[in-house]
Order: sequence, then structure tokens, then C-alpha cells
Amino acid sequence: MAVAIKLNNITVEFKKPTLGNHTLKNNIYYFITGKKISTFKAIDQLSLIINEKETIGIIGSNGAGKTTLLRIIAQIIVPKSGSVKIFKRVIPLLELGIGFHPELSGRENCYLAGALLDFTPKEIDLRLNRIIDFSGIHSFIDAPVKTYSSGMFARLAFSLATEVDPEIFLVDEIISVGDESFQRKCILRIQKMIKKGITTIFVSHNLDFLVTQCSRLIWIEHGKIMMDGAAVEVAHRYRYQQRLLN
Amino acid sequence: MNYVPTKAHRYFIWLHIKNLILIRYRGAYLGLMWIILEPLMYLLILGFVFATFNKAPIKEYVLYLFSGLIPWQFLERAVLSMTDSITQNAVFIRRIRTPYIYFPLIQLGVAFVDFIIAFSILLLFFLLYRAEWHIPMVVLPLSIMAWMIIVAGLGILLAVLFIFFQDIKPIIQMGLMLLLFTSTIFFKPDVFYGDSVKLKILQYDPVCYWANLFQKPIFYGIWPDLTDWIVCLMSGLILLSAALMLYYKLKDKFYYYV
Repeated sequence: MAVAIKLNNITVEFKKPTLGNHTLKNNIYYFITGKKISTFKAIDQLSLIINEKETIGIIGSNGAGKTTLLRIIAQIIVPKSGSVKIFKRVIPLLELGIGFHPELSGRENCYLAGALLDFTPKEIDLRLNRIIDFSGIHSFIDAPVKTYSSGMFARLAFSLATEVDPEIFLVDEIISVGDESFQRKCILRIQKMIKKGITTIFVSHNLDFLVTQCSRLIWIEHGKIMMDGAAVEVAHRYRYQQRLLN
Repeated sequence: MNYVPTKAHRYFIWLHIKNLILIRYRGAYLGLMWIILEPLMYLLILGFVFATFNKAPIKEYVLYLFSGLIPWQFLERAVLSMTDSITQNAVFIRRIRTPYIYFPLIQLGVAFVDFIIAFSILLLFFLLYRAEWHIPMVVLPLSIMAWMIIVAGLGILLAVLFIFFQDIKPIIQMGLMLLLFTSTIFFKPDVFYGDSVKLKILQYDPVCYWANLFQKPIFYGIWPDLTDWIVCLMSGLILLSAALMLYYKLKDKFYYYV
């Protein structure tokens, strides 16, 4: 099977956030006093190969580096060291409604946020009816999105984001959108994408969901891979460790 | 590295500019009329106040003031909004791969639309005052292009610096104010003739040369001279090259700071 993603020995280091870190005043202060802002490694010399058509879940406790890893794959973060090779078109779904402007209508936002996902206006024209149908907010599509309930907002954003044709699809904790019936629709849509052979990577704390959807789980702690293997096996070990900690 | 935006991304920039302008006046009683009313009222008030202070005939002074102030306002508004445009859009930057440079360019586009509207008002005053249309005014599209290079360079440069030094906006505002009031935009050069120090400052102030590209053809009816063009193009190209070099050198670090 061909390789879709290859990460080699990557390290991502952040400065510990404090108020006014990135100001001229603080820079002068640190320069004069010779002090340094302390840092922490969100990802620590991590290497990973993901093949085409794999469905992978990433697990780990809060602050383990899961979202950072997803952002590296989405090419949003450039690591401090190591190499990142992405061989396919990546669509990240890290948060719903990115690119949406609250003052614009649902329809206008489809064009605006769609352009960010690389859709030309013609491509949006072709998909718009499908997006509105799937979201189920027909009568509100021309109202400003600031008037939407959080459920309506999430439905429209999810419908738009999953209308793309990715080759690698990254999903970060966004499955629990809308009401129960809409959640089922979302899962069915993602399952369809998986069946089409799209490489899919989930970050989630919902182990049951991951075990049923993924063939492989990667467990991360402190920016390092603790375990990488068959979903059931990794989930079992992870649960066991969590029980020990609690 | 791909420097050319895709068709969809060009559409995103255009749509964003359009939306930012429309949203500004959506819900306002006079709606889009404010696009014209706002600069018109601002220019009228300034024109009458400064004409009175300078004891100059209003018609003459208004045309002099507007020919320098309108491009200056474009520079000031564009540069200030471009400066924090990347950090203001941190929510995009942290969640979707978007070239950072789009955000200052969007603000540049919005300021340029405002400039074109204000410039049309200047032409309207020309008609109202039945002022003389000078042949050197044909050079104005080139003057606008030269200012675009200067504004783009300065705006992108400050947008990059602002990511690392997020408290410099007041310094930039003060710097721009200093440049404005030491130039010949509000005050005609003859005000400075009695003072050799002030004249020296004028000689080294690039803003006077930048303003000449508009003031000379519009107010004086003469062609901008070679020095004006050299100073404008050289300063613009130096600013733009420095800005782009810095941007491409540091852009991989932006995520860690926004």
C-alpha cells in the first residue's frame, strides 16, 4: 500500500504562554536581563507512517499533543525539526465554521468558507443545494448565521466541510454536532468517505466510536507515541492505564 | 513553493474585501450611502477648518489639501489595518492552512476601495469648483500604482513585525502622525520658506515626494519631476522587497506567535 503521510523525527516546541509574551517591551526586558521564556515540547521526536486508505484514531490525555499532530499533518504548523511529507490532498476538519462570518447569511458563508476549502464559485453553485439539503436549514439559509442556534450553525458548517473530495481527511472531536439524528447522518457520511478509500484520521476521546470506525489506533502522551497498533488492543491498554491513573 | 494563489483563493480574497465593505454599512439607516457620505463629510470638515486656519481661499485650499490628504488617508488606513490583520485572524491561521499574506492584502483591498471613492469625491470637487483640468493629470494612474507599492510594502512589513512585537501599534500611529505633520500635505511649502531647518526636513521627508505625485498634476498642473518618481519608486520597491523577504523568511514561525 502506498504511503500517504510520512513524518520523520518531528519536534514542535512552544513557548509557555504568559501575558504580553510577544511584545517589544518584553523582548527588550528579556534582552537586557538575558532571561529566556521557558518552552515545552508538544511533539517530541515523533516518527509516523500512515498508508493510503487507512482509518486511524489518535488518542491520549488532554495536552498530549493530538491536535498539534493533526495540525502538522494539515500543514498548519511547521515543526521546529524533522521532516513532514504529505503525498495527498489534505482537508482538515479541526473546527466547524472556520471562515464563517457571523454577519453574513448561511448562503454567503458557503461561498466564503467554501473558497477557503479551495472551491471556486462555480463548484459551490453545483454543491449548494446538496449542502442545504444535508444541513436541513432550508428556510434559514438567507438569514445571518449570527441568528442561528449552535446546532444549526454546526449542521451547515459540517455539511459544507464534508462536501469536499479529500484524499486525506482529518477530523478533530467534531462528531458530536447537532441533535442525535443529525449525529447519525454525520457518522454515515464519514463512513461513506471511509468506504470510498479516503485516508481518515480521527482525534477523539470517544474510544467506543474509534474502536468501531478505525483499524489502527495511535496513543500519544507528552508528544511521544506510547503505542501504535490494532484498535482493540491499543484501546484496551489505554483504558487499563487510565484506570490505574484514576 | 507556490506563490500564486489558486482561483478559489483569489475568489476568497475578493469576496472577503466585498463582504468587509458591505458589512460595515449593513443595518445603517443610509446603508451604502455612507461609503460616499463618510469621506465627503470628513474632507469637507477638514477642508473648511484648515482653510480658515491657513487664511487661504477655501476653493484653492480644499483642492490643495484633498490632492495630498486623500492618498495619505489611503496609506494611513491601509497600513494601520494591515498591521494587526494577521494576528486578528488567528482563528483562521490556527485551524486551516491559509497563506498569512492574504489578510494584509484583504485590508489593502478594502482601503483601496475607500481611496477610489474618496478620489472620486476629489474629482467631484473639481467639477463643482470648475477647476482647470491639467494635462499632467493623465499621470495619476501611475501615481496610484506607485502609492500602491509603497503602501503594500509598508503594510506587509509592519504586519510581519507586529506578530513578534504586538504592542507597536501606538508607535506606528505616532510615526504616521509625525510624517503627516512634517510634510506638505496640510501646509503648503511656502509656510516653511522662512525657516531653513524646516525646509531641510522637507528635503529629506519622503512623504513630500510621495505627495508630489498627486499635488503637482492636480493642484499645480505640472508633471512630477524625475526626483519625485525616483524617490517614490525606490522607497516603494525597497519597502516591498524587504517586506516580502522578511515574510517568506519568517512565515513558518508565525503560528507560534499569533
